[in-house]
Amino acid sequence: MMQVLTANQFQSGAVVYWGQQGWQRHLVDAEIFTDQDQANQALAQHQDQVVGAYLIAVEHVNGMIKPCHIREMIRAQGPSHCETNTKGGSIHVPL
Amino acid sequence: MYRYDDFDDAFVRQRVEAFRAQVQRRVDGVLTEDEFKPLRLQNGLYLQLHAYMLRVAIPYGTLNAKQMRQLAHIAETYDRGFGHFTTRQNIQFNWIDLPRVADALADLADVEMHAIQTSGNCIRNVTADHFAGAVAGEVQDPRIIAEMLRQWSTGHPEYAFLPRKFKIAVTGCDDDRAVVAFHDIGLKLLRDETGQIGVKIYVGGGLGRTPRVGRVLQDFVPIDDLLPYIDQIIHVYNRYGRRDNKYKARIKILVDDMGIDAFRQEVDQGFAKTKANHRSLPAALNKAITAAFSPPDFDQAPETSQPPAEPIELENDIGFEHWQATNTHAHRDHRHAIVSISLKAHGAVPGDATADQMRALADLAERYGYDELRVSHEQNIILPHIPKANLRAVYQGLQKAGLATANIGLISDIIACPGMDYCGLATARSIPIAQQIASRFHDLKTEHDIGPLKIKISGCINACGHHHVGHIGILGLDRAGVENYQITLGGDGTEGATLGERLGPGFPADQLIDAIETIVAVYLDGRRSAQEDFLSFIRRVGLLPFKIRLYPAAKKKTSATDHYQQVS
Repeated sequence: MMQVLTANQFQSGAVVYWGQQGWQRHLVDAEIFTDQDQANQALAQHQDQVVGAYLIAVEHVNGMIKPCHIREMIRAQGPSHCETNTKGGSIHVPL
Repeated sequence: MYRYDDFDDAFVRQRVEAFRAQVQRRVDGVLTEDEFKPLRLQNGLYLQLHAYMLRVAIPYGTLNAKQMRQLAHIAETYDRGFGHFTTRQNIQFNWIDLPRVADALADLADVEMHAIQTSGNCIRNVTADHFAGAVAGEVQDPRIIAEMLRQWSTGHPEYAFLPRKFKIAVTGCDDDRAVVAFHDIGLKLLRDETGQIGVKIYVGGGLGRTPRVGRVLQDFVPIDDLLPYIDQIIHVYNRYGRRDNKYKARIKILVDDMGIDAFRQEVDQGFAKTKANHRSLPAALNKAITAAFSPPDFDQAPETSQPPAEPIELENDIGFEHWQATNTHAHRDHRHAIVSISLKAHGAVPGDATADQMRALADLAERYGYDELRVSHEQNIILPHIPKANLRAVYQGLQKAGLATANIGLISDIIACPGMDYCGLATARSIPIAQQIASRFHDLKTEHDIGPLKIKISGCINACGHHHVGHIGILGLDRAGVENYQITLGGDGTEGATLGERLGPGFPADQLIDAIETIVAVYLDGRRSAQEDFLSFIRRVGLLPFKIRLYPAAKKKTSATDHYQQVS
């Protein structure tokens, strides 16, 4: 199973993902863990500057990394009723 | 309305500065999140899916133009230019940066507002009828009691850490717009046979995962005994309420477990012991609170209309007439009307208002409405006192601000919680469902023909969208990672106080809107006349005709026609 480490940045509350360069705003920059022990180790180590870190399942869809759960899709893309979100792009998580 | 005195002002500003220091210690790394979380929650600051959310208290939903303009300022300065009015008559800002929260709170303090006790296991914002002081037939303006309770409960040292949150609502007349039977304590003002004012007390009502209609604790408590009596109710709850399981910690569970008679006996015994020495509000303060809710001088009402600030052409008179028929309500003074302003434009987010819209509302209240606005628990805004001669000018102003949707009480006037688009607890989305239902029936152009119909949507079992008391209630759940929506029918949050009954298996999102349309079709096909509204129809025919259309397997031996004949 592929997993990504996510959390909320503690000052802005923004959704962030752990990547090679530290905490990142975009899922595309996240480090993907395929080994459970490595994922658990990352979760234990990277708690600075964030709140509520946890692991989420992700999958490859059309060459892109996507969260497996709708909640994480919304966290990644912003509120689904908005035409644009924090990350500047047009988004819509279809019902 | 009630105005802060020097003590109130100093108290709120002291809290702002205390929180500013706590935030700074958190930013500096002195406080961990575990240490900081209870402090931020005591100041109404949640961490939601995408950002911090600040919930600001609007006591009993009443505010003036200056306060509404300040909310617009907060929205623009600290958020993304909008705010979300809630089912507890408050407002939430969804995109707040932690380091700037204290500045926002200081700006709120400048207009006598705060975010204290909008979260945590304490006594929350006391809500009241949004037509208070404006509607005919009131025993007394319920905000007088609500303000007394607010002052008594704010910062109350004994009740800062109750087993769970605690919600109180007050109504001053027989028509219940405050949902009193579904609160931890519900209060209904009335008079006894001698004319003395008192209160009927309901206890242990609530929604959430264990919905309960409030049970009558006392039929009549004299107004002078109200505070010591409520003190005893909460004292008993604080003493015996469960703290081992948050899902069984509300007072409704305690009343279930003890039984209403034993609970009453416990309260009455404590009341008898403590009444004589109870520190109620000083008489002078009591008098000042009562005076603060004196009605405006309605004799100021102009007999001819005042010109709008910036005249615009009306689209047509039919639009105004529709709006007037749907969005105004009889006032206690025949020269005035109560105006309900819909925050439910078709396809919009229920309860959201932009900063520009907030300023437009403030301008209208100041110019035409004695400087008073209300937030309703149905996520709309009320102008409680509008001279009839100025209704057209108000309508023009609302049109210009995109706030003239004529749908109050209709199928598109939907209560919806923030759902999984914002809320960390939600299991499904609410807002897009509300948008799609409103758009569907707007496109069909049937909502005025359908008539009064309340849809309420919650994105999880906690029921912030009041789905249990929707004529049509929708509950969003997670079924193996997929959003699924249960429907209940026949709920009623008014004086009829009824919990909706579950219709059957839930629907995936892509089938839900069609299912709602089918439910409405069953009603339109089967009603005796347009005078039989949706709720009356359900009470006459029950759920079976709906089940037959939605779940054909339920048809069995009884056809819909047979059923109508049986119950007609």
